[in-house]
Amino acid sequence: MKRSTTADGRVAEDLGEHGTVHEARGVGQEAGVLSAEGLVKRFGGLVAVDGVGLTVPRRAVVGVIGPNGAGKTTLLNLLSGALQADSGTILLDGSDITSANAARRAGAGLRRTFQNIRLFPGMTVIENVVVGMHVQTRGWLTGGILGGRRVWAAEAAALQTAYDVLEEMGLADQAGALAGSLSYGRQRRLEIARALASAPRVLLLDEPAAGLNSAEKRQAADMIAGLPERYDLSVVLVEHDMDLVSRTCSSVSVIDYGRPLSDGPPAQVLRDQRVIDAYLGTAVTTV
Amino acid sequence: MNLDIAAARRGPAHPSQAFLPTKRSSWGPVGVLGIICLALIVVSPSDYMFRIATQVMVYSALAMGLNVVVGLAGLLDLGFIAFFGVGAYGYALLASDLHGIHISFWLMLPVGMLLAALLGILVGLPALRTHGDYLAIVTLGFGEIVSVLLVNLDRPVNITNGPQGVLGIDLPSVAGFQIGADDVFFGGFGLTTTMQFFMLTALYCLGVMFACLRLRNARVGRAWRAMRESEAAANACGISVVRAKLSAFVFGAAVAGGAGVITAAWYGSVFPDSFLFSESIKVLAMVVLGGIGSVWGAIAGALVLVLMPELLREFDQYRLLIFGLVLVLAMRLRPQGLLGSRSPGASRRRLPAWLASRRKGVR
Amino acid sequence: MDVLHSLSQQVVYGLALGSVYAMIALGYSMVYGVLEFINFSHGEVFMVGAFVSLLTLTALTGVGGLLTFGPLLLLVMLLLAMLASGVLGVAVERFAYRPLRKSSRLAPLISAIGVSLVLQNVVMLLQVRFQGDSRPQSVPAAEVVPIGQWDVFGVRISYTAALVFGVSIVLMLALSALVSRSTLGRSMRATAQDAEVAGLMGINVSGVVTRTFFIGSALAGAAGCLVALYYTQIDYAMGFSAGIKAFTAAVLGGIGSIRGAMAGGLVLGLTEALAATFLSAAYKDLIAFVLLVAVLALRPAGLFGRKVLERV
Repeated sequence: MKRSTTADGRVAEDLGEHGTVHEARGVGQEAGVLSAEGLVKRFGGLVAVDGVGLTVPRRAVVGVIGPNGAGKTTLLNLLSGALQADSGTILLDGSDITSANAARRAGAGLRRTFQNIRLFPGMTVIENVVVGMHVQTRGWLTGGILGGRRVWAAEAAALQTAYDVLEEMGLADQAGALAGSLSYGRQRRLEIARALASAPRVLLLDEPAAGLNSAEKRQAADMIAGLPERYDLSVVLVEHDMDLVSRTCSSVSVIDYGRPLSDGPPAQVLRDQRVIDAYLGTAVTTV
Repeated sequence: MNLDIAAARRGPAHPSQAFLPTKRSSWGPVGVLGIICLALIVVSPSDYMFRIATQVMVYSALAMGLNVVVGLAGLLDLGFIAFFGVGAYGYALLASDLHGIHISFWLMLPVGMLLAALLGILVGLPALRTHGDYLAIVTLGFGEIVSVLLVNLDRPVNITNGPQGVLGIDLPSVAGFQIGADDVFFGGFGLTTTMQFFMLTALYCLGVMFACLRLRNARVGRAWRAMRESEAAANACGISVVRAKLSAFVFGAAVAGGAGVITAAWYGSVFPDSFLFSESIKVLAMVVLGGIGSVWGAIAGALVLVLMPELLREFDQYRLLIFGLVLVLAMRLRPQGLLGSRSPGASRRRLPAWLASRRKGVR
Repeated sequence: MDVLHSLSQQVVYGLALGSVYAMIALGYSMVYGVLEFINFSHGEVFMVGAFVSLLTLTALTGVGGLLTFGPLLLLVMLLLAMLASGVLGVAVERFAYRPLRKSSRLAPLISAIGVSLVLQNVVMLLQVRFQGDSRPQSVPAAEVVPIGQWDVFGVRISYTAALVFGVSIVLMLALSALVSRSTLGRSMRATAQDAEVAGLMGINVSGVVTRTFFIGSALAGAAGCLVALYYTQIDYAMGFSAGIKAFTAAVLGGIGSIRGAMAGGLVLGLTEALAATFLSAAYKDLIAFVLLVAVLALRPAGLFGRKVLERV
């Protein structure tokens, strides 16, 4: 569990003896860092998400799985604010963010990645990460033109943090390259780096292993499993890949046809007959 | 987040400093353009040349302003000249005999920018809900509305003086000296009225250039470029797309408004037909021809498109025809513009587009 | 009663104007549907159609009077105008747009503006060359359609207004049927949905684009012919404002939608006609654009368009 701290000393506290992620919960965080209740989203006549709730404990990796079209990505879009829920509530650190838009939620420490990678391909790798630190940087029009001590200090610090995160993610060698020129696997990592640099409370990962080969997948699993302690955050992992889910998640929620089907520790959930039925047995073979 | 700034200052340079663009890229290019302008004054060619040079400065400022909106923020604006018109008319109406009001140029310069910026917000508001080409047509609509208003606001109450325009606009003055009133001589060195205006315009243009270069790599510039590439991802990074869009419009508009005030003072008169759609297109063509997203490109575009009609003056009748052909051919041969920068969403191919498509077979 | 009367009179005028806008708007809309590109030179193609009609009319009724039978004259004018405009549209696409199909969105736009300037100035220079000046040309429309009007409950419907409205409705219905029934229509719709996939499915995308340009431009040519007869005066700069208005109409209706373009054209024509009477002729254009901005602010994808958002 011991980890070295980065140059800016962000991960100052060491987790030490905490056995499980659940024990790591702070006082007054019983409800979890992120909790959602009774989320509903309709698209015309289709109810894509129908009464789904989710509690994400501090420093936990929570998986959301389900067959194709079950509403996983819609759920993630509801959590991130890309879509507004028709009903239900979402709490982040105890405050109600249900009506906040995506930018506000991101500013409050709720970050996401996209299933089909969304980088800024025409900007450099390090610029991508610094854009992710929008909330940490300073100045707007006048500040941008005139600059000033405060603005430049924040810029330099952001750049430094960005570089350090890139280094940890093994991308520093291409910091000055255009993001669009990176290999697919590296683009996936860059997207996570962009979210991480802003020191989020919760990271929503939308199929981070999609399109990776098996070696890259194992690497990704290790990286994701290490995120909560390394960066003091919680992860919601929407995934297809059962192997990745069981390697990384402390608990898993299964949804099917937009409704909650089952939840609990991965091993238990993957044995659940209803889950197996929903997947037509395919889940078992991958465990 | 705990950013240890002090630690970043001391000690050997952190490798990230190689990517610090804030101070690096603004003074240099401004200095280069400034030296070119100074050299022009020292060489002091004919008054005709200075008139053209002043025009290049005005259009460069306009093109750089539009470049922020179109090139950085990715918002296609087809009514940009309206902001220029608002600045020009703002000064013309408040600093001429038409209404008997004579407000100082130096006060009107920021006021004109502010007026244009307000209009920028007005244009930007519907733009928040519209995308792509719909946005283009909204801006076009706004531009047309402004030009119709300029022509028709002489009745029932005469505000703009209609198609006759406004004449006898005040000259700017500095400490009792009127810029552009008389030729001035310092020993053997003379400054004609045109040269005086050239200096004023060049100063403004240099300021705009400095601002644009700074903004591009500042937080707001990053937000603009991020938004241009993916609104969803920009949102997910905590960027308020609403604020980013509005501020792009506001900045571009303010730059054009200021240019309008200066131009009105320079010409001493304004007419509504100087602010037609074709002028918006001309500025857009400068941005695209020069290389969208690039500040030097905008200046190069302004230079080429101001000079070309002048050079073609002998072929008077064929001027616009040739201009049109040049636009078409330029896009065919160099769709990324003369000085296309590598990063914008323009062509990312190395081969010219037409060559590339030949090879693959046009689909 | 007087207001009602002048209202209905303006409706007649507005419908004629609107159907012309609609026909030009169709070209914008179809091209946009297939290529997602604003064909800014489309207004000039319309203008060329008007001049070709005038040339045809002058040639046929000129020395000796080759042809004096109105309806046949009209047919020949329409066909030649449509053919000339159609060919011109295809040529412009080949030369100025196709090479740019894979570059940024702005490059073809600038190229289109260039084409626009070229076409305007070529017509102007030809006028100067053969006639000495570039003043507006008057069209002897009476040779084709007799001057006169029907009186329907006190509302005057001129023959030309009826002709403009009638011909454009017929042409637009024909287009509608073509797009919804024929194989060409199907490939056009497929290409509009996704050109790449359409290509993979064996559709000759370039062929579809060519035919789209031909049909759209031919409609603009027909509109040019009708406008020449209706207003009896044409000039080389007429394409510009008509183009902007028609584009506005296309957007009002939801660009890419054929029915939307028709509806948008009629709405715009009616609004302009009514605004010109009840407000002021000077503010006619203003009303059109205010309407446009208002509609887009309230329904960002046009009256009949669907909302396009970045998918996440």
